[in-house]
Amino acid sequence: MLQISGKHPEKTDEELLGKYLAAGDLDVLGELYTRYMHMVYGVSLKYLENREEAKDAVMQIFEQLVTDLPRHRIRNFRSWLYVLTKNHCFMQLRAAKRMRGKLEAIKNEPAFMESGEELHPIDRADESIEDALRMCIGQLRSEQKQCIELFYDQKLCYKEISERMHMEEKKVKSHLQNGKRNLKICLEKKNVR
Amino acid sequence: MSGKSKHRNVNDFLRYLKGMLSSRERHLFERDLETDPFSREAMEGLEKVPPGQAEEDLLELHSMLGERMAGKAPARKKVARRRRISIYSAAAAVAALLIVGTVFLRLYDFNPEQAEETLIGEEFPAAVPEETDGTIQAETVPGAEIEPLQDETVTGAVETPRQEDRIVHQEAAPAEPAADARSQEATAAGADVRAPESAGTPDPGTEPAAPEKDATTARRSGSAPAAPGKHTGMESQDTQLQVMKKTSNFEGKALYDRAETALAETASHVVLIEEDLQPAEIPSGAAPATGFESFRLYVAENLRFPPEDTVTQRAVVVLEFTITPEGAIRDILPLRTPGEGFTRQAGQLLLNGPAWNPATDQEKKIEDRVRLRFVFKR
Repeated sequence: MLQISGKHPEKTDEELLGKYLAAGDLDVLGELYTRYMHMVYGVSLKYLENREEAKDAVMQIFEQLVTDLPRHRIRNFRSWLYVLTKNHCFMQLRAAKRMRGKLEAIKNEPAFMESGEELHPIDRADESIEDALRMCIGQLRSEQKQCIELFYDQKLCYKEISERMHMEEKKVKSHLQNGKRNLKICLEKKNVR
Repeated sequence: MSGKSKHRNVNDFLRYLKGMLSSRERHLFERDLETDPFSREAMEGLEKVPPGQAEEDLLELHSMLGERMAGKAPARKKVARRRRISIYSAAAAVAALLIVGTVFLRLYDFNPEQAEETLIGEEFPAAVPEETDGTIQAETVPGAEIEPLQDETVTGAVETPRQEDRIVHQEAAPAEPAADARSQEATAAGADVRAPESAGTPDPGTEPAAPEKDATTARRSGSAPAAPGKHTGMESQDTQLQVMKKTSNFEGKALYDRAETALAETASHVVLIEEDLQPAEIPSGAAPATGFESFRLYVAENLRFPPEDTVTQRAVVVLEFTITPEGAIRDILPLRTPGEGFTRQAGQLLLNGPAWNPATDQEKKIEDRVRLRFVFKR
């Protein structure tokens, strides 16, 4: 496994960011970036679909941090980095004219869901909506309902659900996503947010 | 239905990708993925490549970032520069070889046809290795590139000699006994070529494997004892198919020749030179009932990347398996694979493919181990 501990493991992202902005110490920025480099690489790999291009993107985004960070007021570094990564991939795809519908995929992904308000109701610890949630789950299509129940109630992982339902993990994830979207619509109709 | 989200580090991701988490841990990790699109999308991307490759890339990135923080030039540019330097070096080496070759030809008024016998006699002993355990190598090919087998577990691997599509015949130096040959193998670890241990022959570990062009390679290991002898080499034109066989149960001889009918039908460029060969004594290895050429076409037409992998451009899987006396495929063992998905694709292709004829020894059907190389290319 990778050794990733930096000099300041106890510091928050924002503290490290402040430290970097104050002194311009590249080591500090590197430590901050290292916390998320695997995710930047993963997102780049998802959209660029090429290992070398994804690695290039990771290093280019780091260079962009060096120039952009002093010019922006950033409250949540992690979320900002996520958006920056997706924008970078978008620009790369556009430059290479390889959009092929990926633009929609990029746009459709929510920018971030860090705060409790932005979490899907089913992912929140909110017992007050339990009844409404149950009712809406009952209205879901069979496969979505089964996947939601196996994942959230029986706490099975994707692999176990795929084995139990005899379908690919991709399908399981798809049913979960679609199920959650339908749940949200259903809950909003009941004025539950 | 609540979940506590936390930010996962790179090792959490790698453990998940490698299947090192328990079901409970996987579920908790996935709960985090459900609540965090950054993590979810990152995982979707990382799942596009085998876990080993993802880890390798992340290691490289950490290294490059370390260099960048140390104040060196942007790392990726350095990598690109290193690549360019490698390409230039290779080009320079090729140019130097061409110049030396041209000078040689001009100085000695070289006539290839006249010199053929001489060349064969002088150059191929090193390229055609001694065998100690009876190995057949068959290569098939669909216009795709192929790499020599590099797995160290390959014993008695024979590298087919090649030179301008010429047929080669060579009296080899006496082979070493089996035990000695194994120690030779150890010396040549990592290389796919074993040369006879005769004076003046190059170090087998340094002998480069001949370039290959195919998509599948079959390699079969027999159990015949080591024996000194002579062998024949053969060449294949345009890499259609090459079959090399050794029959080492001959008294006092180690002998390569083409395989019997089923194999030979597909090995149009293989030429048998040994005259003392008694066909009845030649053990034949297991082979696809439809022949290797047909099998090659089958692989070329049906080999598919794992659906979950949309990124990898090229991958190699080497499978070893048993062909029972009844012709059944058993005990498939991946000797080399970039990931489970690739193993599965190659294995299913093998199992769903043409039937296999068992190996025979003096007309008796015997069990045989076969190695096949599958090359995935986009």
